[in-house]
Amino acid sequence: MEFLTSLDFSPVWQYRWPLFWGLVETLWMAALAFAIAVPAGLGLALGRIYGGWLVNLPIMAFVDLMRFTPLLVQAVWIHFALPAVTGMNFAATQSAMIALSLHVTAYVCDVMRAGIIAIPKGQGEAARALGMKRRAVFFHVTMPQVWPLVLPPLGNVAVASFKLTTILGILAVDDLMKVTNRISTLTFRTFEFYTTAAVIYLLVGLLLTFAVHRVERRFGASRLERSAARADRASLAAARGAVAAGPRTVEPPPDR
Amino acid sequence: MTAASATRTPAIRIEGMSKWYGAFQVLADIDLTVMPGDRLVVCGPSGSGKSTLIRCINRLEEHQEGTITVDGIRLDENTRNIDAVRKEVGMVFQQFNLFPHLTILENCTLAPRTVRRMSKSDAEARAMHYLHKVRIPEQAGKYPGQLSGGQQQRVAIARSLCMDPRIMLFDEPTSALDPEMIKEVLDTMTDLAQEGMTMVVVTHEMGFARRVADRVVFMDRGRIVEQKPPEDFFNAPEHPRTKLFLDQVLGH
Ligand SMILES: Nc1ncnc2c1ncn2[C@@H]1O[C@H](COP(=O)(O)OP(=O)(O)O)[C@@H](O)[C@H]1O
Ligand SMILES: [Mg+2]
Repeated sequence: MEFLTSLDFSPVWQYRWPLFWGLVETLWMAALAFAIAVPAGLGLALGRIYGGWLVNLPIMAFVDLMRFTPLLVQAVWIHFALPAVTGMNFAATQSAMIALSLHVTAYVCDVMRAGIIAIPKGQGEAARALGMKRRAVFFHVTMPQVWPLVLPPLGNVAVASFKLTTILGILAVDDLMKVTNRISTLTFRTFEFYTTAAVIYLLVGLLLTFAVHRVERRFGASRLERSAARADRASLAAARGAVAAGPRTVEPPPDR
Repeated sequence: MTAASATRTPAIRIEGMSKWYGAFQVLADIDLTVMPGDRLVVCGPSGSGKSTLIRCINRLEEHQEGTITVDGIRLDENTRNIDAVRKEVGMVFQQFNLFPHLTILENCTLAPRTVRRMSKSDAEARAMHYLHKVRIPEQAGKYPGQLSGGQQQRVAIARSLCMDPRIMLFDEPTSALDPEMIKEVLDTMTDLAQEGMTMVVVTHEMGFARRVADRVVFMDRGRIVEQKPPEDFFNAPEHPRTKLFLDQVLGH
């Protein structure tokens, strides 16, 4: 009781603008990292699938390194060790962005790979038998069937990269978590500010999930009916589950 | 087609061809010549290498020994030759392999547009022509998933024809179909044969072989065991394995 009566959320309103700008920083970092990770992850997935072992092995090593070491350590490596090795110096935000992008790229790579290999071989064979070149097969036959398949797990990755930004405060990045941390030490209102931050993360997370579901409704479910992989429940589950091993903040949408 | 049969270049010529999957030899010393206008039926027990053989003809599989020449073009690593051969050769698969994200019409126009750089209207006109021919023009706006198996397979045939192939390969085109749909697909293939299309058909439909083929090839364990005109093949098979196979397929 005493704890509850001692709570005072009024300073939160006083610091609304720093919190707001922290949120803006968080959002654009997550968005940019995701925007970089989708094409990069797709490229790596193609290397994994179609490249020889010389291409395949380094990509596999990269993906595992990114997935099985903490983002926090990666950020520190990139900000402090990389300049020592390469002689290039990055601002904290740049290092944070590089770390987050690489990290998310690894997850996107897995999702894309699962999606691409879920498309039955007969699709590519029919297209090649018709005389289509690899590029045309990829853009006109494979990818249009991959997108609806990878949309749900990609949505999960998007939400995950939003939440992963909280770790980047280890560098001098003023994201929402870092701002919260600073203000709370300043005001001694630790509980109030962290709770406020949590509510903001929760709301944005819900909003993102809602948006993902909308996109899915529009492009995913209905198109899935027209994917050659639709009968292939196992591969589909694999495509959806690919990201489950990693950071996941929302449950995958129920199969209907 | 009359021009094609006048020339003496074989449509397909396979000489001393062998293929391995690792240590396992799938095809052994295959010799086969198909002249323009020929209608060849290939049969044999499951696993005898029929699919592998016809997939070598458009290089969906590569062979390791011997030569394959299609319409005078030698099939080797040369991508340009492979592309040239694929322009001459159409293929119909057991599982149809229609593109599920495209409408029937789009299925038929995709290759003409991307490979032949045909305009949309030309490609669509041609697609409708062939959809008429396989008797399903009214399905043009639907998606493959909305069609029956027999209809899908006829679309697959139309899709191939849209590329103006001189040779058509069929790999068990009716094996995935319910019995009542087999006839509509075989009828479409018979029409095609009557127009003089060069055809290589892997099938167990012996009625079709009798009526349409001018030669039947029997394969077993990666080898061509016997090849004969249908009358001789069915009435006077020489090889014991052919007899056994015919007993099993025609028997009951
Ligand atoms: N990709 C492959 N790798 C290894 N073995 C294969 C492969 N494809 C086919 N085979 C084997 O080659 C043999 C011939 O197969 P196939 O040509 O499909 O026979 P058919 O069409 O006459 O049933 C079979 O024993 C099959 O198991
Ligand atoms: Mg077969």
